[in-house]
Amino acid sequence: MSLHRFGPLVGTLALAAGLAACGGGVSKSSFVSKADGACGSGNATLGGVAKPTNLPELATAAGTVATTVDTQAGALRAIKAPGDDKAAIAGVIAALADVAAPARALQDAAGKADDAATARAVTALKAKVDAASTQATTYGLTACGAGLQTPVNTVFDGGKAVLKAAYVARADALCTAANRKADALNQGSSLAAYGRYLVIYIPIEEKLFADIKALVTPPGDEATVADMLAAQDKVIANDKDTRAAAQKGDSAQVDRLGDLNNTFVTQSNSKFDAYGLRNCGTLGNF
Amino acid sequence: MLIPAVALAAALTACGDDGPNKAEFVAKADAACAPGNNAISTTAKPTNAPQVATASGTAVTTIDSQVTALRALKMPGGKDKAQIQAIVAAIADVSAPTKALQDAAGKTDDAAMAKAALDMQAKADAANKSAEAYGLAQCGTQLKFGLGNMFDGVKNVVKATYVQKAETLCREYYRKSDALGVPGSTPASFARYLDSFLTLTTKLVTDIKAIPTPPGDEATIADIGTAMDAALGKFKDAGEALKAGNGRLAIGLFEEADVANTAMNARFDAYGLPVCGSTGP
Repeated sequence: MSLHRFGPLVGTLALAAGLAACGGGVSKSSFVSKADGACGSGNATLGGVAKPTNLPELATAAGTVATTVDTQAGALRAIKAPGDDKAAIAGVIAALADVAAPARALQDAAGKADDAATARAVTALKAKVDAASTQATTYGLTACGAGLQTPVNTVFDGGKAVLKAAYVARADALCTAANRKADALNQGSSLAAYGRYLVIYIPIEEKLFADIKALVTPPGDEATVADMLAAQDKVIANDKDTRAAAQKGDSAQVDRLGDLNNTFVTQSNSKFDAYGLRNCGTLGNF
Repeated sequence: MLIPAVALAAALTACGDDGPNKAEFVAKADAACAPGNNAISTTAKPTNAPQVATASGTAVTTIDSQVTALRALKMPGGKDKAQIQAIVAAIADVSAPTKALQDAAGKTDDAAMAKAALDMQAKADAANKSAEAYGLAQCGTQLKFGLGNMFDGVKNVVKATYVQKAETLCREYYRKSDALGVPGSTPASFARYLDSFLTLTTKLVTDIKAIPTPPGDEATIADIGTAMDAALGKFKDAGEALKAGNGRLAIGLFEEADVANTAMNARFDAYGLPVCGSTGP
């Protein structure tokens, strides 16, 4: 045995040591295993979060999400990443950490019972969690990022339900008050009296639906609410045409518009009814 | 060595003399089917029952001719032969419901027209699937699209009748319900009025449900039927509550009945039945 014969082996060992240093010391699979292990307990905590049924519960749930995500991001930063994947992992961690801001915003907004800010934050939270999940899953992580989706969806659904309940309660109250005002009006028996009735009725109707439009739309229901209010806009436009026809004494046109009105009102009412707003729909005056 | 080789070639030719190869068959078959398919697909969409009868009669003749032509073609042997025979049988199967459609349209029998059109479409779908799987581009495959035009025509014809019959029933219903007069002011007289109203309404629902359903609109018509049942059910419940002397419950149920009525009217309107729907009195 001579040193001469160990030469190639020593060279190989040195090269291996050098490569290990360049590679940051861990393989991807090792990192993934450690990272998913680190995210597991936080995900378990979030899994225990029940669907919020009111704003204080929503604030508490959002706070738990924020704290958990911060802890998970901190834990991931402490794990040595494979050298070649450092940029990708930094992106995964950044996306995960980005979830904390809307979660805190939601905690804050729900704590202040600020429906508009709550709706914005709950939507932003879901978007950030979706992005974090996609990025983490793309890298091969199964618990980090992806594990947030189910609990955050529960928070989102709860937030939506809480905001919808508030929307329905407010819209229903507005409709009940406006129905009362409309009930007090007298349509009269002549075309001229009907025209005068519409002069008072239409502003009540317009104000009612302007007020409803100003309410905070429950997140995820934007299209349904827009569709419902667009159907009512057709009713209002038709009512205005009817007012003009009545003021001109054009009874034939008033009759034609009356048929149209029935169709528009049915469409609109069926949408309000389906959304849980029967006092703004079939049981209302508009 | 030359003699055995020639003998072998002759023997192989003899063995292989069991028809054309697949590509040759497909080319010949499609060429045989193309003119007939063209005749069916260029027929104008029928707009009334006599036109449906004429168009379906043409389709029957065409399909039968295609089947005869395909059976006359030499087929590849082996597995292909069985597959081709199944395709030809599937195309032949389209003929019977198309003939039934012709007969039904000749008698202006909407229910039979609707049933035959659905059968025809199902058989054409089956023929299309098997023909396409074999690689035919005309036989079976194009037949489906040609007949699709006729199916749409049948649907329109049956729907026009459906709409006309339903709207007539609804007008008659309104005339009769107007004749009931106004409900009395006591719960007992109101309950009597409601009984008469419910008898009329139950009959209307039954009569509308008995109108032949336009083919392809089964789900929509079923949905209308469900909405009618829901509204009628709520009115009946309200009537029962009223008879039981539970006015508060009756009022709540009448409100629910109104909501169910709106949902029903929205469906009638969407199907083109404004008299049964929102513009009815």
